[in-house]
Amino acid sequence: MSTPVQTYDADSGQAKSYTLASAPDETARQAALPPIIQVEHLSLFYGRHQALNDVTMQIPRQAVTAFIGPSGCGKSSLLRCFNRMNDFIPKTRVTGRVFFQNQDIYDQQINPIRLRRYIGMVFQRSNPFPQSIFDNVAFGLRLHRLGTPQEIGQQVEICLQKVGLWEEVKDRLKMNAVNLSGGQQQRLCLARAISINPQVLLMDEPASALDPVATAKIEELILNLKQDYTIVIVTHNMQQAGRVSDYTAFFYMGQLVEFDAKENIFSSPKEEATEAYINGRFG
Amino acid sequence: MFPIQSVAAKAVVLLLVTATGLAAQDQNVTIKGSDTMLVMNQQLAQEYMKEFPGTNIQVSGGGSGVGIAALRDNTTDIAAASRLIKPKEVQDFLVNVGSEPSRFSAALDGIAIFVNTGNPIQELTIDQLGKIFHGDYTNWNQLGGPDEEIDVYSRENTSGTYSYVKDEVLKGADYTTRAQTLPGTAAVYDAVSKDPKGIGYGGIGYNKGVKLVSIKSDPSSPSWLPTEENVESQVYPLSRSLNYYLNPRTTNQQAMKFIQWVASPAGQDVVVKSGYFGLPKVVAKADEKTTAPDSTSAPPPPPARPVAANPSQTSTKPTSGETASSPATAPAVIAPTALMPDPQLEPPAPPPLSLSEREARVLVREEAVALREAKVAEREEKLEAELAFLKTTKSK
Amino acid sequence: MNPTTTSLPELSRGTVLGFVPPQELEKELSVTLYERPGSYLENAIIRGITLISYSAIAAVLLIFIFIAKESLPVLLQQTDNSRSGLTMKPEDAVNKSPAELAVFLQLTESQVARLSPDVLQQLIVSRNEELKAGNSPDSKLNTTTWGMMFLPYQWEGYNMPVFIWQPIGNIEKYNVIPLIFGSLKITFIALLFAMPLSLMAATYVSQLARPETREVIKPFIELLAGVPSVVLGFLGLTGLSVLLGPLHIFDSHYTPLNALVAGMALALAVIPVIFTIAEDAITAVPVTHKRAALAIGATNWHATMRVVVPAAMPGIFAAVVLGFARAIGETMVVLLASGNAATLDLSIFQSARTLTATIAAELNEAAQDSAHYHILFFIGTMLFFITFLGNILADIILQRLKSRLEGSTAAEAHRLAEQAETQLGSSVV
Ligand SMILES: Nc1ncnc2c1ncn2[C@@H]1O[C@H](COP(=O)(O)OP(=O)(O)O)[C@@H](O)[C@H]1O
Ligand SMILES: [Mg+2]
Repeated sequence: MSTPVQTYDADSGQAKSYTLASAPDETARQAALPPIIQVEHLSLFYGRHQALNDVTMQIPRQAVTAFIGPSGCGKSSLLRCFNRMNDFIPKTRVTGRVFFQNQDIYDQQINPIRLRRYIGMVFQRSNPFPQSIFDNVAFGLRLHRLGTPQEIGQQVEICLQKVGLWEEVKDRLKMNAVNLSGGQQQRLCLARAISINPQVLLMDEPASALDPVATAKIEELILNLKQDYTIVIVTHNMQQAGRVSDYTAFFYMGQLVEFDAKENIFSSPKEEATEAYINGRFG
Repeated sequence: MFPIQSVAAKAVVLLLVTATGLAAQDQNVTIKGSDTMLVMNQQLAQEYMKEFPGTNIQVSGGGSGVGIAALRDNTTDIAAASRLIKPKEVQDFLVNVGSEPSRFSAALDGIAIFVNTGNPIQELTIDQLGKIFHGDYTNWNQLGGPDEEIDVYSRENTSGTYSYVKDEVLKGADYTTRAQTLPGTAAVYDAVSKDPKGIGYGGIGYNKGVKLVSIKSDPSSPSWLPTEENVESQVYPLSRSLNYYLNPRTTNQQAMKFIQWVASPAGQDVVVKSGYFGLPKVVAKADEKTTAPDSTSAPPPPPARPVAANPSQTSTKPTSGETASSPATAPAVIAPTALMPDPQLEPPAPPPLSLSEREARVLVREEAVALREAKVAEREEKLEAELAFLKTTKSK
Repeated sequence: MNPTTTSLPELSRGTVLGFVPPQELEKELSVTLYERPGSYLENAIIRGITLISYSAIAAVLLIFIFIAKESLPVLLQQTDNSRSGLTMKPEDAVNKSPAELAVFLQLTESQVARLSPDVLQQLIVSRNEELKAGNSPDSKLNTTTWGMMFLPYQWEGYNMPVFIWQPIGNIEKYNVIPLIFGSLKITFIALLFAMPLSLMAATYVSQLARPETREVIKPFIELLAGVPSVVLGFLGLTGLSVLLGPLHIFDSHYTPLNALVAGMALALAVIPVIFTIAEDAITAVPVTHKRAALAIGATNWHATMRVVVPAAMPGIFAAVVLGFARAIGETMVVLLASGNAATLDLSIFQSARTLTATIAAELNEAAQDSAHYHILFFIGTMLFFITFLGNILADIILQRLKSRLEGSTAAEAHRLAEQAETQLGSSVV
C-alpha cells in the first residue's frame, strides 16, 4: 500500500493530487507504475463557457480508468484534451498542462497529429470508413507506413481476433464495413484503433448505442485489452464503470470531485456528491 | 428573311471577326463594319474575286462603329458604314492617326416605312411618322386607321438606321419608350408582318411580307414609295448612302481598286442584285462632263478623284432649310475625300460622291441635281486646299 | 529523468507493428512529437491549393477593378457631355495654351502636345461641328450626373418629368432606372415560373419518384442547363411570342415581345440551376429523418413535405439565390425575347429592357472613352453590386434559417444531442 504516485509526481503534487494509498491488492501492480498521463490544473473554455475547472489528476498505466458523472459535466471534454481533439472545436481555449509520458502535449512545439498516433480514440457512435473491412483496419498501418503488405495482413487478422470479429468476418473482408451491425461496427472501430499499437486508448461511451449483448462483448474486450493498453473510458453507466474499470473518477459541473480505485469509489466514497450520484439520487 | 438569318449572320460575323486578323498582304483586302451592308459586301467580294482571280477579299460585320474603330486601329483596309462618320470618330482619327478616312459611296438604300398588310394606311407625312415614333400618336384611328393601339418596332440604338430615323424622322426627338427594339432589320420586318398593329422601319433590301407606306415630306407635296427609281433620283425622302471609308494609312492598291470597281457598272449590278439601289445615274452622267481640276493649285499628277462631278459654278443655292447650314462651316460631317493618286490603275469609273442624308431630302429630281452640283463645287475647293496641304506635307 | 520508468514490465503482444516498448517510449516521443506535421510534398500541395483558392478572390477583385476602373469617370462624376455651343476659331489654335485646347477638345494635354497645327485645326473644326449640333436647351446639360441618371427630368418636348434611356442622338439620355426596373421585372417573372417548377421537380425526383423514373427525369432537366442561352432566346423570339399572342386581350398595350415572354424563356435557363442544387439539398437530408416520420404513420407525401423539405430549406434557399443570380446576369435570352423597350410599365405584357441586354447591345458601338462607354461600364458595376448585395443578403438569411433549423448555437445543439443519447443509452442498459 505504497503511494508511488506521490513520489513520481514530486514536483507537482499540490492541491488536488490524488494518492492511491488505499488501493486494493489487485491494483497494486498498476499503482506501482508511474502514471502515463498527468493533468495539471486543466481548465477548458468553449468560448465563454467553462467546461472544465482546474482538473488535476493522473491516469495510471495499463489499467482502465473510468470517467463518470452526469451529462454535461465535462467528461468527454477532458477525454478530448488527452489527444487534443478539442483543437478542432472553434473558440476553444485551454489553460493548465497535460503530460503524456512526461511530454507536455500543449507545448507550442508539439505536433498534435503525431500525438494521436500514440493515443487512439473510439467514439460513441461507430464510424467505420465506407471502405472494405480489411481496408478499415489496415488504414492506420498504411498511413503510418508500418509493415509490409504481408505483415499488414497478419496485423489485421490479429486485431480482428483481439476484438472478436475475426470469426464473423473472415470470409467477407472485402465487404463494405457500413453493412456490419452496430456492435460489429464498433468492434471494427476498436480494431482499427488498436491496429497501430497506441499507448493509450480513449473511449467515449463506446457502448452507449449498443444492445446488451454487444455491450457485454465490448466490456469483455476492454478487460482483455487492458493487458496491453492504458484505457480511459467515459461512461454514464454506473454498472459498466463498476464492471470494467480499475480506477474511477467522478466529475461534476466541470470539476473532478473524486478519483480513486473503483472499489473505494463504489463502496466508500469520500464525497457526498459521489455517493449521491452512485446511489442514483441525481444525474 | 426570318430572324434566324440575322442570328446566323451575327454568328458568322462573330466567327469572322475572330478569324480575321490583321490586314494581310497586297492581294488581300479586309472590309469590316456595317451589318446592313454585310450581305452586299459578301456578294461584291465574291464577284470581284471571280473577276480578278488571285485576289482575296475578306468581309466581316460587327456594326458601322466597329468597322470605323477597326479602321482607326489599322486592322482593316476598308470600313463599311451605313452612316456617316461621327465628329467624335473624326476627332479620334485626327488624334490617333493624324488624318481622316476618305468616304466613298457604294450604294443607295431607301429606309422603308412599313405596316402590316392588313393595315389600310397608305401614306404618311414625315411629321406624322415622327409623332408615331415619338409616341404622340398611339392609336391608328388618329391617322384614319382602325381603332387599335400602334406598336412601334425599332432597331437597336447602335444601328445606323436607328440614328438615321431619329435624325430624319424624329428630328432628334426621342423614340417612344414603348418602342420595341429588335435585333436586326429582318426581325423588324418579320415582327410587323405578324403584328396587325405594328409599324417599323428598315433598309428596303429586307422588304418581305409587309406593306410599304408612301412617304411625303409635307402634307401638300406628293408621296413617294421607296422604289428604285425614287430612291436613285432621291425624291424618296428617306434615302441614304451606304459608304466605304478607306484607311488613310493603307498602301494597299487592291483596296482602292475594289472601291472603284464597286462604283463601276459591274459592281453596281451586284449592288442591285443584293437588294440595294445603285448610285444615282444622274451623277454618273455629270461625271462624263468632268474636266481636270484647276491645275494652278493642284499638283501635277491629277488625282483619281472620288469627287466625280465638276459642276458649273452657276448652280442654284440649296432651297431646303435643312441644307442651308451645312456647307463651308461643316467640312467634317462629310469627310473630305482626298485620295492618293494611283498611277498603275485605270479606274473603271471614279466613285461618285453621293449626297449626305440630310441634304438628300429634296423634293424633285432637278433640285437634287442642282443642289448636288453646288455641293460638289464646294467640295472641289476643299479638295484643292487638301491637295495643297498634302503637297506641303510631302515636301517636308 | 525518473528512476521508476526503468522498472516497466514486458508486455505480451501478438505483433510488433507500431509497438513502442515502454522503456523507449519517452525517447521516441521526445523526437516524433516535435516533427513537423505532414510531408514536404503534402505541404507544398496544400500551399498550392490555398494559393489557387485565394486566386479566386483575386480574380473577382480584378474583374471588379477592371469594370470599376472603366466606370470611374462616372463614379467620380468627371464626365461632362454638356455643350456650351461656344466654338473656337481654328485659326486661334496657335494662340491658345495646351491646357485650354485640351479642355476644348476633351483631350489630355499630352495628347494635344503631340498634334501638328494642321491636325489641331481640323480637330477644332470637327469639335465645333459637334458642339453646334442641335440647338435644344437640353444640350447645355451634363446628362451624366447622378441626378440625370437616377431622377426623372423634364426634357424639352415632354410635359412632365420622365425616366428616359436613349443614349444615341443629339441629347444623350442616360437614365438607368428603366433598365434596373426592367432587369428586376424580368427576373421576378422568371423566378415566378422557375421557382415552383424546379422545386416541385426537385422534390419529386429526390423523394417521391421511383428510382427508374428518377433516372430518366433527372438527366433531362440537367440537360436543359446545357442548352445555349441564345437558343432559349430564339425560342422566346419565335415560339413563345407567337404562342402567347392570344394573351393580348388582357392588355390593350400588349406587345408580342414582352416581359412575360422573356421571363418564361429565362425561366428555362434558371430551372436547371435551381433544380440541381435543390435536388442535392433535399437528397442530402439524412434518410433517418424521413424514416422517423414514416415510423409514426406519415405518408410518403407527409414525410417529404413536413420533415424532409423543411430540413433542406437552407439548401433550397441557396438554390433560389443562385437562380436569381443567373436570371439577373443572363443576357442573350432577354436581348432576343424581351423587346428591349426601356419602359417603366408594370404590365407583364409589355416590353422591358434589362441592364445586361443594354450592355450587350450598346457596348459594341460606344466609342471608347465616351460618356456612353463609361456609363455602360457603370451599369456593369451596378450589376456587380446587385449580385454582391443579393449574395450578402442571402447569406444572412441563410444563417438565420440554419440556426433556426439546427439550434441557435453549436453548444445548444451539442447539449440536445447529448441528452438524447443519454436517454437512449440508459434505456438500453
Ligand atoms: N463543441 C462544443 N461547443 C460548445 N460547448 C460545448 C461543446 N462540447 C461540449 N460543450 C459544453 O461543455 C460542457 C461539457 O460537455 P461534455 O464534455 O461533452 O460533457 P459530458 O460530460 O456529457 O461528456 C457541456 O456544458 C457542453 O454543453
Ligand atoms: Mg459526452
